Amino acid sequence: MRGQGLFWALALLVAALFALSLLIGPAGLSVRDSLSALLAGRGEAAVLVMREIRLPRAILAVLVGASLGLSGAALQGYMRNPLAEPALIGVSSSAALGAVLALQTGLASAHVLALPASALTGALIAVSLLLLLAGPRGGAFTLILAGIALSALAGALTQLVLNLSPNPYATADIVFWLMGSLADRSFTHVWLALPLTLLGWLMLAGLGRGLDALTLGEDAAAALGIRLGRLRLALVLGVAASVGAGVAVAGAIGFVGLIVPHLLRPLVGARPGRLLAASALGGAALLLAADIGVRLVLPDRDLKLGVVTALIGAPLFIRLIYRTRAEAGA
Amino acid sequence: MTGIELSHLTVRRGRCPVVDDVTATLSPGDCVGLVGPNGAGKTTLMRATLGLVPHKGTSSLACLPASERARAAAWLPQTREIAWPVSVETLVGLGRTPHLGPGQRPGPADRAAVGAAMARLDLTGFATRRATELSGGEQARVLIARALAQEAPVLMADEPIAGLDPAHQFTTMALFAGLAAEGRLVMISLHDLGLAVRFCTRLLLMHRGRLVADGPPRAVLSEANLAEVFGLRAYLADTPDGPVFQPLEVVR
Repeated sequence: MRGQGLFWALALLVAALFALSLLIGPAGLSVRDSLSALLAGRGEAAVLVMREIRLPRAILAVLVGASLGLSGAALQGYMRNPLAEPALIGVSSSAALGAVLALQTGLASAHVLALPASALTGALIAVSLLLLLAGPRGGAFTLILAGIALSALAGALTQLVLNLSPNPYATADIVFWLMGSLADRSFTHVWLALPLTLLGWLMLAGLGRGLDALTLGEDAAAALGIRLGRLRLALVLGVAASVGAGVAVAGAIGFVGLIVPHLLRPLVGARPGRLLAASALGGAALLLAADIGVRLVLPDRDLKLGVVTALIGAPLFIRLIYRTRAEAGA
Repeated sequence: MTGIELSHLTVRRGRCPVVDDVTATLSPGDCVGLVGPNGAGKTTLMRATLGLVPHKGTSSLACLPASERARAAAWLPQTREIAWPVSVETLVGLGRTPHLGPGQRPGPADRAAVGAAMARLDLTGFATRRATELSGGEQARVLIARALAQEAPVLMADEPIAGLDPAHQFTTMALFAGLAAEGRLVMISLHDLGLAVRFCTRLLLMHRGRLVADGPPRAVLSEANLAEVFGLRAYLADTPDGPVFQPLEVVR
């Protein structure tokens, strides 16, 4: 079956990139040393590097990348619009605002979990506002409008914090954090992000059939027995939990949620339900690859992951526009 | 229960009633045509009948739980939306959604229903084509096949023949009449009174949200009703080729 083959290929790709990610870093360990440190615990410094630095970094790349890919696919399916992405419903920017406030007030340096906790609070407030704004019976359109309003507000408040920041170091911290990165993360971050991320995945994974039915429009889907109110609630909460947790530990990483569903859609026969799992794997693969790229291209300049995903994503997107145009014969 | 019971069905938009106190009983075997001028409340009546809009009064379909209602009635909205370039077979297969339990994959019965629906609408050769790349008329047929694959005893369609060429309008109406003759309840809204008179076994005439006439087509399209509701004078006669309806002039 073509579909099964695609999933296995993507899963293999993720596994290969995960392994590669473990073998790359400034410590310059050989492959044999890396593996013996990771698996058998040989070599004190190498064990520390492998288990406390590289392993959490690779795990976070998988968690955050899969969340972005899965959320992007779910949102595009719900909105029936290939331009939808996690940032569209305002969760990313609100989580970022929470993190920025933690950096600005100095809370972030008081405790390692203060920043992610503050970001998650931001995401939570955003979701509550979003559901309140979009109303109980609103369709995809009201959700987009509410999300745009919310992103704009969170973005403006973030700018305001930067604008009023008296401390240039704090400002630089904030700007770099906003670019998104997986450098210097530990298992503390993994344990913080993991439960919420898995909860979000669980909520989104059940949406396949409803999203498939939405291909026919909201009215037809409702008449096919899909409970749209429940679907929308699960969608928003799932995106907020998984992407909110991702932003909390890695900052705002753009383009993955937009580009991955786009790339994989033709390979699953354009079916929104099957796109979910494919996009989750694809997102994990893309973020692992980008995070490897960050360490290979400019190893000593701390290149930010969000910058690289945008640099990879934009040309891919332009190519897609070109291909779509060619198919439309324009 | 394969018919529809509507009792004092009312839908308000703000304070203004869009559907006003409609009571009717529709039975299996009837091809019911819902006619009336633009804005008479035809679409809203059908959506309320299915329970897709908040309403007062009762509809026997709207009372059912969502999944059970989906097995009882198939609904073809007026907008022919196909959001993604899925294959025709996939799209028709969406009609099986109400028959699948959580996580259940389509089985032989589902594939048979999809195949039969596609065969009935002459789509057998289209199975692997992308639905979004078909012509408007072909897309309309694919969406009707989707509704048939649902295998529901009630079929409701909102202006299913709008935008089709004359031959396709005719064959589509013949298809709906045939489905009713097989024992289903078919309810369609339409503006072509000529085709309504020819193919429907019963007409519901709506005007400003109210059901103003209900009965055999010839009786519903009386001179008085045509003048009052449509503002038309028309020629309506039984001929050896069946009933013929032709508007002659606007009378207001």
